[in-house]
Amino acid sequence: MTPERLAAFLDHQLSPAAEEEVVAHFAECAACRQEMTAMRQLLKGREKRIPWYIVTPMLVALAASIAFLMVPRVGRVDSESPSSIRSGAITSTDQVQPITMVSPTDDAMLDARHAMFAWRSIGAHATYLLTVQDSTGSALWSSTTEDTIVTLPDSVRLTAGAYYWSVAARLADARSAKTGVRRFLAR
Amino acid sequence: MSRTFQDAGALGATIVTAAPMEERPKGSPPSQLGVVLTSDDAEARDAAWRSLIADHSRLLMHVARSVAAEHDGTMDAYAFVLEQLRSDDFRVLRHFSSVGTGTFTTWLTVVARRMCVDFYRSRYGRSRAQDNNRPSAEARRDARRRLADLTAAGVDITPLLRSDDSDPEEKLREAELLTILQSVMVDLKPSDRLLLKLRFEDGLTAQEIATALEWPTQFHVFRRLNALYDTLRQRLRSRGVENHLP
Repeated sequence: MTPERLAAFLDHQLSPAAEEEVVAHFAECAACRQEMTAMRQLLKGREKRIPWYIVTPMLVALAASIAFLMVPRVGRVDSESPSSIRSGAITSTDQVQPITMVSPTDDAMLDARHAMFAWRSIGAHATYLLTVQDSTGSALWSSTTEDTIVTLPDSVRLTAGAYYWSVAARLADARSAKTGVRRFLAR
Repeated sequence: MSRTFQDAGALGATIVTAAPMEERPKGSPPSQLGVVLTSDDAEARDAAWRSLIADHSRLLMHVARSVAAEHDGTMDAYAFVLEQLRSDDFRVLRHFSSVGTGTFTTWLTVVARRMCVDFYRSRYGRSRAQDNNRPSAEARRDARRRLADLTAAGVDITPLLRSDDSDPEEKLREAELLTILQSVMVDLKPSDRLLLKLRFEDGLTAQEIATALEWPTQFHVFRRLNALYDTLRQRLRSRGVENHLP
């Protein structure tokens, strides 16, 4: 049997009559029959092989997943309960000392011209990012500092209403922590 | 001396492809093939040939691996296939036609496998397992067992399982029974005859048969075989055969 005819049979490209003729030949010819079975095994084995360009991304994704599970979770807040955010509870990672928000306290009323924010240090050489947001969640002002007390500059005018503040911190060894969001009122 | 990767590379092939096969409609021949077979520009032909082999080297290695027993043998068979495909101005490749020859991939698999088998036989000779004209005593014993299965389920087959020193009269009976069996098998559909040959002559497992015939599961094989047994028994009874000893 020619390779062309066998390939056509394997690919179902023969007419029904021709296919039956080939099957009848297989029933009589052991050599062709064995070649056909070997070819089917070969082609099936090849189908089973997943191409490298599919395997590679899968392996990368698997490695990333493992790394994600193994590496300490840094700065994640999505697992915090709403109540903890609302109350300004502290989220810390990798046993970083938590940031304690000192002032203003929750729903405290501030003088808009002298707003001051304070929190407790989490260690030497820590850098803090203070963010003040308006009631819509838009960042109104932010400042990076190594201090733990920041006064709102005169350039930022707060009108009467509700605002939110939060602090994120990064230590020299790249560990980090952040607070939840605490509300205060300006008058 | 064994051929090596370098030898294969000298034939103008890239051994391992770093890119997936080109996107083209399923079953259509690769674009490089036309250039390889028709271009007058030797440089363009060489480039197309290298590209063609790069796209199919994984397939060719798969085929070579299926025939050769170990790594060196695989690489030698692979290099032999490349040599044969390129020889005589791509004579073998010119046999491929996009009409009536299957897809290029399947056709190439068939051709490459035959080349690998030829290579293997030329080097190591024909193996006993491949030689169908030399049935062993064990094979004959198996054939007798299958014959008993076919003709008389539940009948004591011990006499049939005796070794080759069974008496000549019994051998004659078996030969007669085989003749009758073959005559009733002629009336079966070709696909049923093929199924019986795969099972009882080639000794394939149901799973292997399912793969060969592209049936969904081995249970389809068993069901069809059972139906065939019934048919054969009825036909044998109509010829006066009630058990394995006519």
